[in-house]
Amino acid sequence: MWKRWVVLSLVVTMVTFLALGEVLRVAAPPWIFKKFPLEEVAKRFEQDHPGVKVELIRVDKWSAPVYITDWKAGKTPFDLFVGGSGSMLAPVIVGEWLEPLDDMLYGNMAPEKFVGGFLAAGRYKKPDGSGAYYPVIPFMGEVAIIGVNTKLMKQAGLWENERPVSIPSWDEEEFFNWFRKLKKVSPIGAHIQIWDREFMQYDWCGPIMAMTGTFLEEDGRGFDVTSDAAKKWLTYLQKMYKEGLGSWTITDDAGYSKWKTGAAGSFYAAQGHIMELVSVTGNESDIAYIGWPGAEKNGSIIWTHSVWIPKVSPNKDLAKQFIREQIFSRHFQQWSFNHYGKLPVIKDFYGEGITWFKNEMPTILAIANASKPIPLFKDLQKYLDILMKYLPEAAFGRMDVEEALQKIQEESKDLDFTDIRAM
Amino acid sequence: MKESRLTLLIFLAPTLFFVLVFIAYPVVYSAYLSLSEYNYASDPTPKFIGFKGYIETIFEDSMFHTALINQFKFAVPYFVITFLASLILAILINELRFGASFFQVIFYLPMVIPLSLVGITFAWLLFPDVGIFNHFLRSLGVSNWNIDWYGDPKTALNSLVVARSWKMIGFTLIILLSGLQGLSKSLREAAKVDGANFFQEIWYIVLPNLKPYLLISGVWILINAMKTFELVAVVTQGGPGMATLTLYYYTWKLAFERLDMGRASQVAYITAVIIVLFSWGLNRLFKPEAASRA
Repeated sequence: MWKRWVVLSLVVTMVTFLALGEVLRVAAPPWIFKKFPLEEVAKRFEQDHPGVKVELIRVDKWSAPVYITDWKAGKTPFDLFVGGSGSMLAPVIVGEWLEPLDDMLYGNMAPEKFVGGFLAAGRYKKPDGSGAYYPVIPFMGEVAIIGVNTKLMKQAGLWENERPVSIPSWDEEEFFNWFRKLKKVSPIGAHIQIWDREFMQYDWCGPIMAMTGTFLEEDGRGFDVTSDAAKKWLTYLQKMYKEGLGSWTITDDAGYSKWKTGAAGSFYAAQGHIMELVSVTGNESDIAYIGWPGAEKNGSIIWTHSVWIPKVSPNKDLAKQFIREQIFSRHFQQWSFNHYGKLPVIKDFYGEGITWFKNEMPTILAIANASKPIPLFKDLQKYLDILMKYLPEAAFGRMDVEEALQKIQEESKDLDFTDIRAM
Repeated sequence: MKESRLTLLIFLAPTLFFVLVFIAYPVVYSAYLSLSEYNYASDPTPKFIGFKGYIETIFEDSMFHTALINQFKFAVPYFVITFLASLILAILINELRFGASFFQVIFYLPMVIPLSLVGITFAWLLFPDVGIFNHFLRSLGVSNWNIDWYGDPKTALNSLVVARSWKMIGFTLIILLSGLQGLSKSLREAAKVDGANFFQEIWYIVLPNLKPYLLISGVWILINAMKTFELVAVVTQGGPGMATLTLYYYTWKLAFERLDMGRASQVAYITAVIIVLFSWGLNRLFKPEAASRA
């Protein structure tokens, strides 16, 4: 008798499963829904694969580690997550909670198809020391760069041959004179930077990279806080703030608002964030890009957002299929660039189909190609806390430059600076 | 007798279950975590280390020191402003012959708004370039008045104090007002007959008799002063730099950014001890004499 019940239950389960079809749960933060055509490609995937349903999950204020509790119990609320920078994902990568995606890197996703630096941002050391693997695959890139307001640049006399005049050099007089000219026509301040936890890294490392070609200490233990270049940059930041040449904000919104009011001449941020401000200025030609002195040769900082699959997902193959067919489609990546300026990670996508900011592309790509991502130190979260404690204090002129750099060295001397990325 | 005990147990069971699962267990487990080393993502189980973690937190963790100092920088003005403002407003509203209910409602209204929403609202009001407050200041004639209230380390913490006080005053005001309305009118009339003016009435008659309500309000404000999380999380995320890093926000950072459950539990327990100590102090200060309550 009991055998009949077992057989009946199995039949009911199979019929139910076939009737419902497969469900792929794709989660992403709200900004991904806004800046990528996720809903559109989900429908395309359903059309291409009858019987498959893509359930889109919008996650506000997400943090990868909060899912560990579910994963420990063998469950997951999603099969695929779209989004997450290296520092956001480091804790779950260290804990080996993510599915290796190396087997995806062929065909349209072969390593040679990627812009080099972007793919490298997804390559991590295996915890057992037996080589490297890809627990995440970057699908969009950003580069830290200076956007300038072309109208204000023209008024300030910093415009020649249809291009913005770059900051001439790191020489103190030349550097400050450039910003002083811009300050005359930009009442809120010549220059804006966002000093939140994430962007602080780029604020610190990008200009030092442009100056010297590296932003790390010689022994690789942390960011450069001991060289003359490091001292010079922090001194400049402090001086810019005190003279009103620099306006430091702590949120994206505050930075954007300064730009939107038309009162700031230049803005150091992600290239995409600056492009988005075209919606305010009204015209592509209102924005142009420059680098810190030396950036076109020495580079800046790049970072990526990635796709990743929890190891416990029951739909890993379907998730991988969605990544290959939709996330890495020309349409998905170019749409985002053409509307929000997010850089595609595949080289071929930079040609036909790009309609936005064509004139600025050479500058952006020159800097992006020479740039590097921030290493993911094992103790990165602790290190960022220490940097947050001292760098903004000095940048806002509340702490002596030497003292701030000294404190960073002292408090970070025992941290583990092993890079979990395999660069 | 047995039956009545059984009935008692049956009726108590849901509450007991709730208390044991959602209060007692987390309290005991987090106490154990505070005596352990435990990274939630990478350690399979907590490793017991005794009080070593507490010693490191108290004496060596500079972030904890910053959070502790910030917490007091926040708590002192918050306590003074909220306590005095609600007391003064309660006394004034109690004196009104008409419209007292209207003002009670007006001052209580912010209490129904979630603190996170208060944060967002104040962030916009105090926005540097387009915020109403700076706009108002500029309209007074200071053309370049463009303070980034939450973005400048000099003003960020005090701007949070203002937002939180604005929201919380209504609650303590209601507590104090109920105390004032419960006072015997004959006491004040007797004082008037003896020639006391308004301020002497308040000082010698009202305040001493209001001690139980002052104690409740004080403890409530104090606990809230030490539990500063939502505003910081929504508006400043502890910044600029670490200018608004508070104990609760640091606990959250430790737990959910660093996944260091041991250190997070230590900071949470230290915060709890501070709250208990100050509440005990307030209790001593405002504890009414048994005779005066009779």
